[in-house]
Amino acid sequence: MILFRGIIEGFREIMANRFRSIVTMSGIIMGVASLMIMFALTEGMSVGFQAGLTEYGGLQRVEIVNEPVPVEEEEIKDRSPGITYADVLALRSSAPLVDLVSPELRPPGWQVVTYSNKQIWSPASGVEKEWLSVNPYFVVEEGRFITDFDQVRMNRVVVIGKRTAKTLFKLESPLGKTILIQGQPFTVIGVVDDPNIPGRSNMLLIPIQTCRITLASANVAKDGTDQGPVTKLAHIILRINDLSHFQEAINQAHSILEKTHDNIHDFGFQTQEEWFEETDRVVAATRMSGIFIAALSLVVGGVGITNIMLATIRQRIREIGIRRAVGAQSGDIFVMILIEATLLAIMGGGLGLLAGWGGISLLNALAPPDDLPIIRQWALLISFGSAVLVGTISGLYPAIRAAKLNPVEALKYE
Amino acid sequence: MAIIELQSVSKIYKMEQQEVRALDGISLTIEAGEYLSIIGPSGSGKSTLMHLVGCLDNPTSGKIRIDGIDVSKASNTQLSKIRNQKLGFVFQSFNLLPRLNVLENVELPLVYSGLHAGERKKRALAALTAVGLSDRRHHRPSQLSGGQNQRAAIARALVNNPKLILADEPTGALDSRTGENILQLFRDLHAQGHTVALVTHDPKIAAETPRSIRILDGKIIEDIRQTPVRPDTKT
Repeated sequence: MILFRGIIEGFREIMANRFRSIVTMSGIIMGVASLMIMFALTEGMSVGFQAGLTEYGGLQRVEIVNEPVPVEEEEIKDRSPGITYADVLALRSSAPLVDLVSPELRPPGWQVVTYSNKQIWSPASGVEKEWLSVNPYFVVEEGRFITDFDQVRMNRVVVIGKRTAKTLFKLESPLGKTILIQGQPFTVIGVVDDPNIPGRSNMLLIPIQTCRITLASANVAKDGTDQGPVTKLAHIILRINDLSHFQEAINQAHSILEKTHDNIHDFGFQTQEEWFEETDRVVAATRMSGIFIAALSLVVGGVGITNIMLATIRQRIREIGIRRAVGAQSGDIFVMILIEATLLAIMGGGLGLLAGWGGISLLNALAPPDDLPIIRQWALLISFGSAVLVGTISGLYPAIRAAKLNPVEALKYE
Repeated sequence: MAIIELQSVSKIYKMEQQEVRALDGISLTIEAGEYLSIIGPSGSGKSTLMHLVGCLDNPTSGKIRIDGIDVSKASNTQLSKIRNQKLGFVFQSFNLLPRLNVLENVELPLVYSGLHAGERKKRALAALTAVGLSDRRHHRPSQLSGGQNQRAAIARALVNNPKLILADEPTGALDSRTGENILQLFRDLHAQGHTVALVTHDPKIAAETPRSIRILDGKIIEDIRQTPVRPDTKT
């Protein structure tokens, strides 16, 4: 009852001094607005990072790479096979926790590609159908991708990147055309592209077995000596769908590779976890600095409220005396001042949310950031809640001062 | 029945090294239904006496009973409660809250006694009717004349049906005609059975009341019961 009446009276008091109240609230308004904008920006950032990560294969993507033999295994270095196709077969047959195994063989150097009178240089890879699953940001724009059938038959087919297709074929359809790679004929069966950076892909994807016997059959050094066929894979990409058994899956793959590599540790695992943690760190750091700035502004706003409430009390000493004379307890006076301070903060908080929303809209309209700001409910709640908290805390000291006023002195005050 | 009982009450203020005896061993009894005035020049201690009787302050020594309750050592909270339930104040400068309308001002003591809105409004309206101001209940104090303001203040003092109405120079800020109207209102309240104490420095007002207590230098120097001089019987 007293509370309700207190709120009404507090509201009237604030509205009676509209200009002063708005000035008092300005710190809170800015604090809440900056909190809200900062939350929206970092949330947009975080979501953007995660979307990028998911596109890249998410946490499920693990890369097995060749690594130099450790020093303590120096004497058995010669037996180091590197990552080979044998590892792929072993992983596929013995690692049930690993869902997909996608090898990639890279013939040395860039390849000369010719079609009619055009010639370009392009990197090539020997891959299998799994390549598309572990590189989910690529889509087949035309034709089809490499199949198991292509592997078994050792078909001389190639899937080319969008840029390669454009350079070689212009407006012509590349499907079914024969191109020469290092002088050997391949039939184009498909075109792939990354829609995020359209028209920039220049790769040549060839069935891995075909690649092995054609482009990777010889590795000629600079001085002209042939070092024999390329057996080392560039890397193997794994996909582990069940993240709850992520570490077990890695351990499983690791122990299989230890077997196939005769305990020579010339391989390593690279997970996206580090990337994930890094982006988390970046978002957290940005958020912290934002919170710091917003908190400063909220504190300034709080000091403003304290100051204005102290001034209000000085103006209203007589009113406080009258209220005490007709029976208000010092607690009633305390609550009255606290309600007023909190109301100021609530109104400032509300206006701050509006200002924050306006700021975000303005930002989107004038200079849209890469990752669009995202307004979350919890962010609104935290921004608004901290304003109310600051207001209440700022009202405490003035409220105590007002409650302690001696009724006789207050009544005498002119 | 005694509503107010003071037994050798003293109030001493310490100002730096000096002691100021604002009240010096005052004993006084006010019966229910009395109409009295407390008169004295400024600095005589009459304001201090009013503050003590009005439960705005504790005495340094002595006993004060209000409606049988000893309030000489009562806590802040208890004093507030007694002010709220047993006393009504009327001030020289009306002391209405400018942001509230007349009705809300009159309701104020009831808000602090925790009454709900319906009952508050009913009782505040009754008090306003008693002072003849019910038609102005939605006006702000600034929209009313001084006399109307003082009526509203009296309604506020009446609204909790107090044991004692304490009026501190209630006509001091009014012209003589309006002041007379307000005094008439107090006489009417007295006639209805209310206990009223006027605090004043004006002998003419003191002559109005059947009992007049004169204070000087913190002591009662005269406590006389008289036949009041009524303006209508003067000529």
